Amino acid sequence: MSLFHELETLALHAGHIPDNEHGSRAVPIHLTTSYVFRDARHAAALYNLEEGGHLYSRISNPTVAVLEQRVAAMEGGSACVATASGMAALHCVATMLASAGDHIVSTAQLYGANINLLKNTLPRFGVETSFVHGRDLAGLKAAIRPNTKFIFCEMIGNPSLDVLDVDAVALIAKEAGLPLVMDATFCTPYLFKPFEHGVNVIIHSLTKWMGGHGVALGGAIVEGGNFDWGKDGRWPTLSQPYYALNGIVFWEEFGPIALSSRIRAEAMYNFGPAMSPMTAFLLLQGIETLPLRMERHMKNTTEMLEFLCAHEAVEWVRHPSLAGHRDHETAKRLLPMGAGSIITFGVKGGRAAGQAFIEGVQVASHLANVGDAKTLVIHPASTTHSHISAQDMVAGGLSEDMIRLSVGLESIADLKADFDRALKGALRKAGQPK
Amino acid sequence: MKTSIDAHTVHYATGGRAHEKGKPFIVFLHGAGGSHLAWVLQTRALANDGWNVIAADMPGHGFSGGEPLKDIGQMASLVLALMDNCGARDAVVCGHSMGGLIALELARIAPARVRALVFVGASASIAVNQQLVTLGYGDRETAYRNMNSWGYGPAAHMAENTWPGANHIAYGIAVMRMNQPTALADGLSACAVYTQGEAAARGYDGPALCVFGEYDRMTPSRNGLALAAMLKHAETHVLPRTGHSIHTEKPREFNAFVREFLARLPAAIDA
Repeated sequence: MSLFHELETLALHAGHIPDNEHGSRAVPIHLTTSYVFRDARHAAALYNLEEGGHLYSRISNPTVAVLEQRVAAMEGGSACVATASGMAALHCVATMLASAGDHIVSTAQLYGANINLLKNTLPRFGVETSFVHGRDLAGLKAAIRPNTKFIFCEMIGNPSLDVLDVDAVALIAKEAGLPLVMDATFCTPYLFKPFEHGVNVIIHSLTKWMGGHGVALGGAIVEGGNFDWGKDGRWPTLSQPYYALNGIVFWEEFGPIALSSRIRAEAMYNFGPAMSPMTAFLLLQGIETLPLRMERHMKNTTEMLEFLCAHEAVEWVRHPSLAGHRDHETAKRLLPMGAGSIITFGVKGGRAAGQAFIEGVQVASHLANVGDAKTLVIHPASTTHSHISAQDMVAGGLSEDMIRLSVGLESIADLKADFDRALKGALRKAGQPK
Repeated sequence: MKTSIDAHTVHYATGGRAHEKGKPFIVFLHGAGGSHLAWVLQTRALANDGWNVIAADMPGHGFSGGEPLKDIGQMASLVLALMDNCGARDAVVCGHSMGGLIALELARIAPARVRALVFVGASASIAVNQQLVTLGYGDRETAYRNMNSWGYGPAAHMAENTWPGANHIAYGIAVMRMNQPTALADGLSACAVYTQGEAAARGYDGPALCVFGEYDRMTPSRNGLALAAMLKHAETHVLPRTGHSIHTEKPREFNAFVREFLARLPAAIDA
């Protein structure tokens, strides 16, 4: 008998036990901004962090808490804070760990908005980031400075699809005494468990595979409870008295949930990136079927890879499961359940042919998202990564002809037929031989 | 807060409030492999109720230095020294599991220092699975996983938590990892060989509160009820669908029992 519930069970149940009064099996939607205190003592207790509970939905909410506890349990984390989006999650972590004059080391293969926040926005507030290719382990180590507060990475780079050798990077972080923060959106806990590989904080965009339905934006910060924030005073936000709550020292008071407690007390309170309870409910509906969906995502991805690799109109195909991918061996070692359901490929005929392909698909949708149950396609160079410089595009593994495909759950026969039609049409428009 | 005992630093949490002269003391004693972090939902509450709170980290646990102790008697002596350093002539002593044995030993060796006893998931003796002790000295991660699987009830296993977003089991494992490597196994070993519990319970004449969990797999509630039967003045509660970590799994109910119990105590010597 297993000591703990498996992922499939946690995805359905974690965080919610039906209440005695109503017995509601589904998670109730607590659409309320605020909560009636039992008495003055109860109100004071909530404000003083004496007891768990909810006082205002910008800080916490019962429906959102179910989502948070479900994600924490699925990742094996000590606590989770849900945010309005994945970007809000990264913003909260960065600003709770780093202050003006501090420094971050990041792998370069990142989602465009992650790059923007670290490269263009945080410097205006005095926080600088050094970007190093995830495969350049010596470079990552050399980039660490005395004022570095954390190392940031994505497990599967978006859209470069580089797979990080997280074991090696976690060792660098550990030797430097730094926390490793990972955006694990592309993996979900179905494909990869970051805390088992030395990651200390996980960030998710729940908007993607976790929700899966493409109807709700959301983010999550999951704390591993596996980092000593008090060892050398490098994280004063956690090891020194807070300006409120009678000078609370989060690390001494809350230990393995110090970071999430500070995020809730300061970032949620002062920035306000709260998730709505309706959104939490919608995301929970998606998470219930995450293991089943991921299984189908990976099956369809395997079939689409075979199809694209054999297609006459396709110039190149990239996915970590392909033998020719630079990180194929790393993916085999770290992602045995599959290396995600994003494929990138180039259509013969370059940018114009790629555009013709995107406009030619009928089952797949042309939009700026990934991880939906529906198959999605986009041209990153002109959309999601259009704000990135040519130099950063190359560093991030992008090219002008790249199509990013997020493989959905449709009939694989229908997907192949749709892509075959659109690819052949693109070839014709580009004037290439059939 | 930190103090020095036998040349080692001993950390104790005060619930976010400095001790004040004239206020009564309450001491919280964690279980094997635990630390003051087990009592976060009690310390702040009681500190704001007006108690001087001491939630001790045993040596080698939490933020305390030194090597873990292997003897319940030594642990009780350390708690007395900690009370001395804090200026606590006497105190209500609240112990969870191994902490319950320390509380009993305190009452046995220094009854005048104990105003009242609170037992949480405790019994007069704790039969420890030797295989678990062996794991604790070798495959620590498996021992931590076993302890935290057995240490929580069904709701905690489903990540139910009164603290929004928190996960009991991962938290419990993380707390154990913060300790010195042998802390869990040494604590379990100390529990296994402690034999004075029944004599201490039968000899104790003061007020006692006993709170047990229906689904406690570490110290089954039948053993707790046996302890309650040995005590002359015990108030006993068994919380349904609750595991070994009653104070974190059902903090509202537990704290209500404690507050009602404390309100009925005669005035403290120091007060």
